[in-house]
Amino acid sequence: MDRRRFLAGCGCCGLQGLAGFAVAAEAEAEADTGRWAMPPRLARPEQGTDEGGLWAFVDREEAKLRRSRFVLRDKALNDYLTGMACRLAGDHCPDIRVYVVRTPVFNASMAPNGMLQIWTGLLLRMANEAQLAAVIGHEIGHYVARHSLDRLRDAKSRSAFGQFLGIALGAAGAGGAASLAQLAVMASAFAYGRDHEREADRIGQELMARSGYDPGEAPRVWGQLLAEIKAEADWVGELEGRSVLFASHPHPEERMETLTARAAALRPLGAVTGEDGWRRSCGPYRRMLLEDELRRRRSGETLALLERMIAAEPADPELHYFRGEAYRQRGADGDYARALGAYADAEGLPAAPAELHRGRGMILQATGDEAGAAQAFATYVRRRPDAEDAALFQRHLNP
Amino acid sequence: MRSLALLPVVLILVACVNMVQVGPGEVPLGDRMVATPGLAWNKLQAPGMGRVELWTRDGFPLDTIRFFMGIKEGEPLVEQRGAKDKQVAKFRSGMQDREIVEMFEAAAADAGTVKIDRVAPANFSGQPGIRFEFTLTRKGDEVVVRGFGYATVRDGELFMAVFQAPRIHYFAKHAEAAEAMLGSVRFKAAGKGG
Amino acid sequence: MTRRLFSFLLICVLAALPAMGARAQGAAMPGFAKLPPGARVVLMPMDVELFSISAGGILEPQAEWTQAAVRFLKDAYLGRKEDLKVDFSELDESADETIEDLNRLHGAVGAAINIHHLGMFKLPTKEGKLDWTLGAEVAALKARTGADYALFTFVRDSYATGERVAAMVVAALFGVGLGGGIQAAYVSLVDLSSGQIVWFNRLIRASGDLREAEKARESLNALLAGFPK
Repeated sequence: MDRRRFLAGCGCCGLQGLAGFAVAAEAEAEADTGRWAMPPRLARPEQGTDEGGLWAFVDREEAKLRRSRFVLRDKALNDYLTGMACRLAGDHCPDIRVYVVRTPVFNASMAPNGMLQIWTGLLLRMANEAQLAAVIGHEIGHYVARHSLDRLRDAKSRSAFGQFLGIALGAAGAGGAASLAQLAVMASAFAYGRDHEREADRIGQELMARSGYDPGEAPRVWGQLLAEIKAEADWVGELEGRSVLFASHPHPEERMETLTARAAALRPLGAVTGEDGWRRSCGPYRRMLLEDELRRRRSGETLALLERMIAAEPADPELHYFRGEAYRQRGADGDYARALGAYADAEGLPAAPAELHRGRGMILQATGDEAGAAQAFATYVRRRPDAEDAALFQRHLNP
Repeated sequence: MRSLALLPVVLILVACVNMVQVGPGEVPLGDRMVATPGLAWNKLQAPGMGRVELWTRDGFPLDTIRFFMGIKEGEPLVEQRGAKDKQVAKFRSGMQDREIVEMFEAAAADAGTVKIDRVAPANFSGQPGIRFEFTLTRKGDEVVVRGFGYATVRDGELFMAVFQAPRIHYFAKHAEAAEAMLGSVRFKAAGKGG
Repeated sequence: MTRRLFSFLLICVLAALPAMGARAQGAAMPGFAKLPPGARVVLMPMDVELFSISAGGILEPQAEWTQAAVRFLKDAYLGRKEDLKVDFSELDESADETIEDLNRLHGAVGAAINIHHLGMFKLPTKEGKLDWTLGAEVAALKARTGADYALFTFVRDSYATGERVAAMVVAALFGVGLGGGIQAAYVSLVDLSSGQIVWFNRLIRASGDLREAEKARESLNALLAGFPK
């Protein structure tokens, strides 16, 4: 409890500079749209009710999550994200607790008790603070409209929820540890219906506008995600029919149009995208998250993501290096040439990762250029003598 | 009622799946390799294990040695549920050492957060290969395990053995015996079949 | 591969037991007979969850039941101080990283005992002995709590609702077995000077009730049957 208050308190402190601005934006948005009023803070439901059971259960899941090894505990990052969530949530701020969970998948979820999970796969994919605000605003929309309660009372979702609990039961002897598998199924148990998604979209964008974020980032986030899913489907050679997003969310094109039209109509006070704070807070984790991303072996998605990131930051050598790695690991027709091109792009920029020489060496080796490979490996080992795999390439130092 | 319905399942399990003692002394690994452990291990015997063997001393949640014997061109190390064909890292006979480790990494990432701590050239089953060390935080129970493995490619097929155990107590308890056991693995002289 | 196999084994174990008849299965480490008089035993945070099962087989968490069960179990433990001649105490809430680590490791050790000692996948090399440990690292727990032993409790309990019972009968007519409520629980006693699990008891049965104080005491007594005193 203390810790919860502490976290929420922090977020609010960090926000004081923005408070006046947010209030002005809110007044303006009210006057402008007059369509939606933020519901008051949610009171803890009675224990004996179905909602009370749900809260108590989620409370215990949260207690596990709080201790989880998969939660990133960096104070600066958490303060920053809590600040962003609070800016959106207004009066609800004290009820929201942010957890950054290290899982390389695009996902965020807000439980009925105010536990807000942000997965690192989502952080990696957002170009700026406003983009994350679009996703979190949407989740806050589900939360303030109490959609999870409707889900709990809806028979169909109950079987999904039951599946989740079945896993919880099956995890006999897990020592009370949070199980990421559990959390993933829980997320799907809270997969909302289309009407709920539409309403959450609308609330999310309203909250963005009121908080001074550019609501035009909402359709952009959605467009990015669609492009990644399509790139993966093209590469894999089948349509991703099972995607939760297509199953439960409104039709993609319709959703894009609605979000775009609403962004134009909202005309917010200012339109902050927040690139600087975003880079400062999430930047230190980017390399780790890109490494996690590569291990997923979703080359279509990963390459679409990297190309988008490179378009935004063409002078960042690390992005070119990872693009090279993604092509090298995929190894389809023409990928080796693309990888060599990407490594060369990285090399031409200041502070390029030394690992690009390892990647280049591996491709040259695979294509029969022994001398070129030896030279590249030698460069790698000279620059990274303490690398975990340096011993593999040591022999190239003294040919 | 429930008892009767489950009975056949239970009988099948009891009949076909069990643990058998292997070692000390020479033990066949599949039909192409042998190991000579210095002490007794427990091996899982079950239908459909294919070219994989699982050994343990204290039980699978605690310490495990996995043998992968003869992974062929185009085959993955481990089947990944829910993944499409092109989303799974597969073995190629021309793979470089580093790529073999990357394939292991991708498979391990399915089980949690993995970090490769060291890779170096080393002999395995009497021929050149690699030795690697790693740390894995298991998704299911959040236990941090440490491990090491050996791999080599012979006649275009991959042979790999990986030991892992919780960082607390169990890694130190079994690492030496596991290292010695993996060091004792050899190919049978007679080649394929057996 | 290992993870899937591991959960498969666990499911087999849990599925098979009720079929073989409800019972408590206790085991003590060879050579361990009883706790020394006045031994101090720290109760580790209990991992308890109670569910109801509705007609469709859907499990629902029952917060009130769970809270009550934890309270009843705690009282039942403390209520047996005299009779077991053991000084039970509770661990204060602020578990640090070391204790969390030991708790997680104990989960894995408990799973190993469930699968390989009490379950069907006995390890030939153990020769039927309860021989598992958390290692010398438990010294941290001894230093923190001053206790001689630690007791871990894990409970999953589910109760069929009226409609569920009816569904089971109908299903049985068609030869399909549906699960009613199942109580699955284990307790584990760890010697904090060596880390050795000196006593372990498991209860898997289709009866028992933790929703009421009296019945919870019965369940705990069944779990503590054979507790080394």
